[in-house]
Amino acid sequence: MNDNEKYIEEFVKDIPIEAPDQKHRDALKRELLNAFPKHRLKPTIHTSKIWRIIMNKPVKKLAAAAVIIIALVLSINFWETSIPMAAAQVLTEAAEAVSNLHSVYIKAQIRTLPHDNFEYINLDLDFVTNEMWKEFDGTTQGKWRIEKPGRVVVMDGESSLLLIRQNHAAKGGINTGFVGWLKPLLDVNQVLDREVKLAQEQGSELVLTHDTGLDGRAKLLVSVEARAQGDFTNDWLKNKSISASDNLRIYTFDAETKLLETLDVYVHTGQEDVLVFQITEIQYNIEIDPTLFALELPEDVIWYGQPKELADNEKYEQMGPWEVAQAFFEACAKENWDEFLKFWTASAVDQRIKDYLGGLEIISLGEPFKSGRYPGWFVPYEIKLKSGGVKKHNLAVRNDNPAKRYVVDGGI
Amino acid sequence: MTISEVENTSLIKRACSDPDAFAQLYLMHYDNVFRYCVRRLFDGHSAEDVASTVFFKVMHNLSSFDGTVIDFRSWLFRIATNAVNDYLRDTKRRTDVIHRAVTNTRAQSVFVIDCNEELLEKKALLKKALLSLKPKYQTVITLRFFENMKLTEIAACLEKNPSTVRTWLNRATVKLRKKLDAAVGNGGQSL
Repeated sequence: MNDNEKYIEEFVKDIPIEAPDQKHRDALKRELLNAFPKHRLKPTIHTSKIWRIIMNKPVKKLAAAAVIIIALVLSINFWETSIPMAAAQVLTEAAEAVSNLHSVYIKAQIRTLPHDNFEYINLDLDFVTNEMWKEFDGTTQGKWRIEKPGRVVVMDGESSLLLIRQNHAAKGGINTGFVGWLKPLLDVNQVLDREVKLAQEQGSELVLTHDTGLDGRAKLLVSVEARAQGDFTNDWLKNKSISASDNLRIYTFDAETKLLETLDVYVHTGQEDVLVFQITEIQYNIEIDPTLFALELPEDVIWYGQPKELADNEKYEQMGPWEVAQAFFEACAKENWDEFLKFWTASAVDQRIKDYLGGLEIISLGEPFKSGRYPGWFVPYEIKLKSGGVKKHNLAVRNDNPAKRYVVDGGI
Repeated sequence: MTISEVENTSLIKRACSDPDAFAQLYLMHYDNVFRYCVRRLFDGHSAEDVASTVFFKVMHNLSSFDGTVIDFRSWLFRIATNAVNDYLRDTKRRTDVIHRAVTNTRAQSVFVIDCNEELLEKKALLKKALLSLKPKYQTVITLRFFENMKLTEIAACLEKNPSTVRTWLNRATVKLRKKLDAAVGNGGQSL
């Protein structure tokens, strides 16, 4: 085995691969056995071949067209209308149907990382389970909790608390930005209203489809084609969140109750449509354990928060994104953690960060750029870590904070 | 499940005309075929679709299987390789995607993986790098490093000379390493 083979063998070692699903295995077995006798009696011809044979001759083409038209007329339980008004009407009725809820529970799968932002998606990642609870208690925000394996946010009605497991936490107000676009999902009526508004203002395309579900009940499907929001002259942020992607959102409602049953979101890449979000369970008006709306924090918690004004704040306020990136990495290089904290939003520096960034060497810093709707800047960098590895990435910095100085917001 | 060569040959013969024998053969190989497909496609649902295609092809072509020329596993992986490559060639899946959304059972995904973040990111890099290679290179990499096949076994699967497979494997590993190196050193964005 040569060096390249050893490298790849090492790289693929321990990479998790999905296990087979017994349900599919059994269902396919049934399908195969149902098809088995037919196969024994008469060899099957591939469908595409039949199609090619049919389409070879004009008369056969016309006959095929007639068959398709008849089939379409007969299949009355699955038809589409591209009248946006009809789709908008369904969304409006659905919003009304959930306007008097006292609680909702949603379970969804998202292609993301367990510890990363709730808004972050990556088309190449596996699904991570996200769970959401909301109790409408008469306050403006109600009580809610959104959780995935590495991160949880709880709103107790007055303030919110974010815990990034194991020991990183942040406090937020009523309109916390911790959960991005997931939060509006808990206010189903608002998200549906918003879709109608987006269709009106930004021309997203709404299509209504009628269908019969596997439970035998009539369903209404509203699909919304939406364009990525923001300036992607530099496409660094493209497809890293739902709103920064060209996507298709498919809402499924029970036709009778008008209650939302599922939501699937597909991101269009040009070559394919990738399912990035899927509601797998939604329950209305259930009893929620009150302890879910409280969080116990570990004793060694490291707090994150808005940067405060420094004694020499003016000096830092005058630094641009590039200067901040340089000063930040120089602080890491010199292992000057007091200086590091002037660009960092935590109360202390985690030992893992010290081990990772301490003693690094700056190879290069590039021209800062903006992407999508991110309010800050990205600074391209290449560094050599103490471990010997070279990292090339973009440092995210922003200064939309009370101290008005740039701090590092991501990209480490 | 372990089964002797003789029993295996006998089972394959019976499976041509006996549904119970075919079911037994299917159950023996389903997991391996699914795993191969998911390692090629990095998506559980797509892997199920392709695995279904594979077993229908096996059912329709089993009588033409000649155990004196090729062993059953290689024959099966040859069918699976062709099915995966056909699937990858077909990029117009929008209709299927929407149809799937419409008929989805909405059950909790059975493909959710719970493991550490570093491995998930590594998997994402591998997926992007591997899927950017030519299908024949993807095939040899998967058969060699995930299915742990020898060169002669891969050659049998692909109906190629072992020397051709050796050349493909060399080229594939060089290209894949280059892409992985670039991705690891570039936050996964350069592929």
